[in-house]
Amino acid sequence: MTMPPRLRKVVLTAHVTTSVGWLGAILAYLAVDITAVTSQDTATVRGAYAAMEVIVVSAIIPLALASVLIGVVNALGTPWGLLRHYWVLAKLLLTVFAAVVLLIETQTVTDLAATAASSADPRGLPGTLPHSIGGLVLLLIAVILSVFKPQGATRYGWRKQNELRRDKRAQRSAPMA
Amino acid sequence: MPRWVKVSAIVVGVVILLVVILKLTGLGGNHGPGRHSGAGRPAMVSGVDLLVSPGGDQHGQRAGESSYR
Repeated sequence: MTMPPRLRKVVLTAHVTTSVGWLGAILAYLAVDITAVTSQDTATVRGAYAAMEVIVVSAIIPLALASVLIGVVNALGTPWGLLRHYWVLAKLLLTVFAAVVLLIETQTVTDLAATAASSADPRGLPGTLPHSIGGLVLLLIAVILSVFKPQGATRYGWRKQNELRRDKRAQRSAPMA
Repeated sequence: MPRWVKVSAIVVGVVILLVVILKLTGLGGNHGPGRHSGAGRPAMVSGVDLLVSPGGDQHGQRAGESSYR
């Protein structure tokens, strides 16, 4: 089931916007995360933890969920399909994994922001650098896959391609009414 | 299966194996969403607590400092 060209462009635009927005929000989060861990000013550290929570809840989570959801719709609505090509499948696995880890890690970020807000000196609190750097790397890999689209169809993809060819051949050889 | 998929699968497999080894040996430390809260977290100290603490010692360790760094 492929979408008409205009709808496809609308969905693709939404997918690129949310995905790149997700990447940008993680970069902003990473900057604040580094500030939280390295700054020696108590007020700055407290503000950084509060900002981390706001960025995660208001920007990263909505963008991540929208990106995964619109990405699935986009893949299903084009000839690429969701499970027909390895690069699309790899992107799906990467983004779903990143979104799941993000949802689990949100509780940690919320806890840290609450602790920083109520603590006399939040400078000793840990950051979440391994997760934010890991998320950034996964999304960069997803961007590279989207741009380069490395070749390779899955077994399911080959089967679908053969079915399509067979159908086309059958249509061509069918007697004209 | 293309070569890039095989190489990626091997890399992912090695990373998963490494994570499992770190988890089993405990070298990776405490991990999970609850690691910053609950029993493992040092008691939070407010400014008031510092002022009224027995002995009035305000030159001690900062709240939550040692356990995390």
